[in-house]
Amino acid sequence: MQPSDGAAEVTAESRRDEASKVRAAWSSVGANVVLIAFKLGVGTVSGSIGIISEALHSATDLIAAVITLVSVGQAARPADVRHRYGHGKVEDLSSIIEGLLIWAAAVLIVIEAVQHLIHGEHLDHLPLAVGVMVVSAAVNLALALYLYPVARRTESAALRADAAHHLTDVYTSLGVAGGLALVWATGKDYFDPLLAIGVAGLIMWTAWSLVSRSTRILLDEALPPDEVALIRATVEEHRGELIVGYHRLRTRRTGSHRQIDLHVTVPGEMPIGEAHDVAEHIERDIMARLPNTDVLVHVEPASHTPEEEVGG
Amino acid sequence: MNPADPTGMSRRPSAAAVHDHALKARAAWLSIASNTTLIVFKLIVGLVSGSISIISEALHSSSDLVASIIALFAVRSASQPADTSHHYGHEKVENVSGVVEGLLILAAAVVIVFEAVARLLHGVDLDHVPLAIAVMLVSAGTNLAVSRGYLYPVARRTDSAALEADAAHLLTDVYTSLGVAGGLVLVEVTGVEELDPLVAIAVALLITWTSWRLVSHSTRVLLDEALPDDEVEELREAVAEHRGELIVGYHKLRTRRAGSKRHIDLHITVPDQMTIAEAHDVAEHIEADIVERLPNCEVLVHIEPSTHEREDDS
Repeated sequence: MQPSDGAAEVTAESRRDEASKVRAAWSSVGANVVLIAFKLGVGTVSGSIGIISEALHSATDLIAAVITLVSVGQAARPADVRHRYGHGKVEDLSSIIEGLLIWAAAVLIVIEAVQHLIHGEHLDHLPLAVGVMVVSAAVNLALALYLYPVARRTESAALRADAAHHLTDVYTSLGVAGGLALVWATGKDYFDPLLAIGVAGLIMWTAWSLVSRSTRILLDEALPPDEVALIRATVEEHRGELIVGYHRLRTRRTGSHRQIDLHVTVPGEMPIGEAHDVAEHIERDIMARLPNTDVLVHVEPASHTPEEEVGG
Repeated sequence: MNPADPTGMSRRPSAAAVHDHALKARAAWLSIASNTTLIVFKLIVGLVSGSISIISEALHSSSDLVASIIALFAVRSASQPADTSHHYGHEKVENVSGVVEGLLILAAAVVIVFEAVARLLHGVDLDHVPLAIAVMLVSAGTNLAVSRGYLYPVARRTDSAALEADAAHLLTDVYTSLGVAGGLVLVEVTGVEELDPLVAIAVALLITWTSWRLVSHSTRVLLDEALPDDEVEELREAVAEHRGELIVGYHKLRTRRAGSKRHIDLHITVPDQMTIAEAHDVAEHIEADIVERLPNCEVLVHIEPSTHEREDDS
């Protein structure tokens, strides 16, 4: 048979998850294309340089959305000869790239704002620009509200990052619109760059949280304590009944999948057929409590005392 | 066994592993020391001679110092044993550091191109050319010696991604130093000042290639790419040797790497009538055989009765 052996069983549910992830990623791409066209259209017709440059800004969002789409598709591929544990970590990589793109956008915003502060600003078509920003913020907010639940349900790092990216766009659009409105109302030009710098600080925080979270997954950080506790509780239930004990529980995450392995001990005279049933029972129990999980159990005779247990 | 044991997994590092850690840390320190020396050397020569280009070259070298500090940090973190927050150990820090080193080299290449283009457009203001050439040659010689003579051999022996990246970084400095020196010599000989920035651009392209190689290599490890074909072949041989004798067969062999460590797991099938005690001895035997053939390996064996219906084989 083909060496696609590392593949977890593709259930109907996981196929449905993949489909909704891809659909979500496509809608992000679509919405960004529409927004760019809208801004370019309004900018060209009105002749507002500010609105046209805003369209270029949106182009980085489109790049991010395309990266998300590609990585969601890649991550869905089953394990193969080159990637025995599947391709889930592509999603975490994509999340880091999104974080860096957001960070780059924040840096650009600060540079532009500082230049505006120093050299003053040439603002044109203020009411129209404010209107465009508000429309853009509304579209991005709607997208983020659609993407976040899908990301949470499918545990998709790439979609969560894309959703976070859209939310940063909401902040920047509202920041720009608020700044322009203040300038319009008060006549003081410096409100716009000051507000922009505030927004930049806010989205840098988002960038940092995406990069740090995904880097930790790439470093094979353990699952969160509550999930580890859940696994321990699940295995503990069988102590004294199916198993004598367990040790060396290891956990990590790849994209939307959890990877778990552990050693369980059973009476030494137990036939292998029975011991394997015990292992499968425990694997099934863990997978029933934690979705998207691959479990591998190593069974040992209770008489075996590996060195790492001594002194625990 | 003690389930309250927060990790329950930290296998005591072997003497060889401890030796490797010490070797890696020493190599990283050497790189820091040589970079610091070079910076001080360039600063002094630059200040005494009053050459702006030599002083700016010293600033350039400080990015190398940053890189070697990252390498030291990485090899030290990577040697920490597995704990509650990292059940599989910390080795992948080395691969992240490989990516960061690659990006630093890329940044250096971009800066070189920008400077070169600026010089092409606005002309070059060269001072103290013979002295600058001599400084570049000393710098290239030092970096070459540290990289080829010490870091690369240690990196290969300990399978250290962080040290390999640092060694590659130092080698890109050799290229840039020689490129600058060569460019200055060409300017001196021909009198054509454009040659200096043109050589610089060529060197920038060369080191971009190194940068790409480091980033892609480390990223693939971070994405849990399988071990190279020859190592997988070696593994399969080690296991297949026991087919028909200790085991009925094996399947679901999975491999990946984290820094200098290899992670391997597989399913083996044994005759149904075996007890778990016997079957576990077989599993340990196979683990020991694998570890003997491939150093720095962590193996987990899942034992199945041969009658167990399985979805795949290999």
